[in-house]
Amino acid sequence: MMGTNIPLISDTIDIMTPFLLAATGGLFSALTGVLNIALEGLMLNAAFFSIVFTIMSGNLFLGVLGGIAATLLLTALFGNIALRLRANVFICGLATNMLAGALAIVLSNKIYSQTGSITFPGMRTLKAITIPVVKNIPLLGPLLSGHNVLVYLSWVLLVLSVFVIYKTPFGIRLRAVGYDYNSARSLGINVKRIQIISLLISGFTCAIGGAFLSLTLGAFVPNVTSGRGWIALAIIYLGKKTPVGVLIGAFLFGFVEYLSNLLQAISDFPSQLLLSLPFFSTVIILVVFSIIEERLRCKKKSGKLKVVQLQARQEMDR
Amino acid sequence: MKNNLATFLGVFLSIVVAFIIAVILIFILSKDPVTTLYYFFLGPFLDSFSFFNMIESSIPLIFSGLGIAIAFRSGVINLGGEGQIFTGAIVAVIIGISVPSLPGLLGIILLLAGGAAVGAVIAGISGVLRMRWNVSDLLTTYLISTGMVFVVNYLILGPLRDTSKITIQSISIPKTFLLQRIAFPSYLNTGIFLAVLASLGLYFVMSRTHLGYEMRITGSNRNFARYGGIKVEKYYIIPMAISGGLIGMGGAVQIVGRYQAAFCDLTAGLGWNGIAVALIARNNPLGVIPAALFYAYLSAGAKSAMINSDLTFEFASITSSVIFYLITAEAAFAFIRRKLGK
Repeated sequence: MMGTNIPLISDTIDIMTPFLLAATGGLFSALTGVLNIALEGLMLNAAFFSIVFTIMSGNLFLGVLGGIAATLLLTALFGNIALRLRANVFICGLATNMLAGALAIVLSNKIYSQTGSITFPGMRTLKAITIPVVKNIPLLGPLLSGHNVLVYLSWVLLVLSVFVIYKTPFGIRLRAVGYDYNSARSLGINVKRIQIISLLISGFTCAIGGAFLSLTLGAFVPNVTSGRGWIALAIIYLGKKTPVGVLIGAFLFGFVEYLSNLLQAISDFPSQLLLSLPFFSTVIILVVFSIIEERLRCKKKSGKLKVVQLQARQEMDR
Repeated sequence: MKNNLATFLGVFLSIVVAFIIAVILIFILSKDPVTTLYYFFLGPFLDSFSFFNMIESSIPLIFSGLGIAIAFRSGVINLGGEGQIFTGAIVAVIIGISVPSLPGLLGIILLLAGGAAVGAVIAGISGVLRMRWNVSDLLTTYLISTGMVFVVNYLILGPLRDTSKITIQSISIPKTFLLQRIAFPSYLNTGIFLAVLASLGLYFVMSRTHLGYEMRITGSNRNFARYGGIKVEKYYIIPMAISGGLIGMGGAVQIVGRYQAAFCDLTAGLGWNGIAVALIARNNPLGVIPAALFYAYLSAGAKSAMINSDLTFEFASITSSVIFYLITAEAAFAFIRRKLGK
């Protein structure tokens, strides 16, 4: 039984990568109290520019770097307008999503004279890496080996994020800013800078997520992100703003998308309806999660209440 | 007064900056910038056909702008405009083809009410989730709406598809359910009066009724409203439902006013642009009308430049994203206020 599940989990690991990357970066800005709803647009921007730079240079590595650079620029624009010009972060996030989508189409019309998918014959794609020794380990081997380099990078970044958030002065400041903006400021923390840096971190990871999407496909397809950035926001929220929560959430949504893909391949269920599945299930998961949380809180409260009642009774007995 | 002037100047300034950036970009992107600029700025005014079509395209924008404005005013967030317009439109089509023999006016009212009802329900769900389980309305409105877009696409491509047409579209509603065209040959129809009526109505509700007062107070400070004795819980749901209802009705108006049938790219960003319209109007229902007209002008200009020159239509979105970026920039507004104060 375990044996048949391994390809399933292994595929889910690939599919969850963009979710994991976007949510890991989004986590940083969420911790500083800035809700980055531009995750979607930032990923889309990187998906486009990584293809452009790959075609230009003929090199995947340079393509990814180009995608990252372009996305960091866009994030810097977004962050500086939102925080230095004191514009509404939420509205600026929407602006970034809108700009990213429009920029991809306008530029692809300018550069390639077409507005549809962009690819060219012989386009290189990211290849799976088999790790020589690891792949022979029973059970774990097939899970750990055979992914492309950006998947491994997403794991490294997740571990790194745990370290940065919990073990470095920067991480402490980061959490302080989100916990109490004014106190953090009165302690002399440059809150604006921390927030912009954390936005740039989310831009960086989103860029890798976007590059993953288009470079595994070998093409840029308009709206290739299809709501993944928004679902990543839900993941951050569900994961209670912790890296481990983000990992679990990303795996969960990777699995939902895997199921939706699987149904598309093996059943004759209408594909459009299957495409709506991840969105509706995200809503359901959000609600279920919230109900569970409420129950737990009630239990805790009623537990406390009993203690208080008990103490009161003891007082009266005396 | 001075504050209002500063706000107006701030909005005006963001628009001017957006257009300056647009001009610079046209010089970079276009092979024939002078022609492109000519059509981008003057295209909608060159003949009455383009002009009235521009007015027509403001109709759905007014509806979605009103929907967003009431949501923002009342302190809830509705990012589901796209799905609500689309679902409102498809429900209007479904009602239209299921009761084809109804008298025209009654049919139109029924179609519009159906579109509004379904929009209200879709948005209302998010309101209920927010009230009952404290689930973020920002996420659920977007997620439910995006899911609905796929469901409606399925209906258009599958069960409701008109197979006798070459283009992919749904079955058309009977001609008796269409609104009167008022400036033939353009698409401008009596829907524009409905839109104006809706914005007057919303203005009245927001500024002259008890309900509107409570919604505004709840929107500006939920805790204050609660201490004031307002049942704030229900004001997660009511504004959300009105918001979705207005936007859904906008979708239905698209069907009875212009298209007669639904097709896959019907919304074309109307839900998102409604947010820009509401922001330019500073969430004032009466301000939504000029804001929507301005926005319609922006898209009509881009469309004209696309047809007559080499600009891509999405260029309008770049310009509007610049407006988005600047329209809430507090620092800029404070600067203008200081200058006026001197």
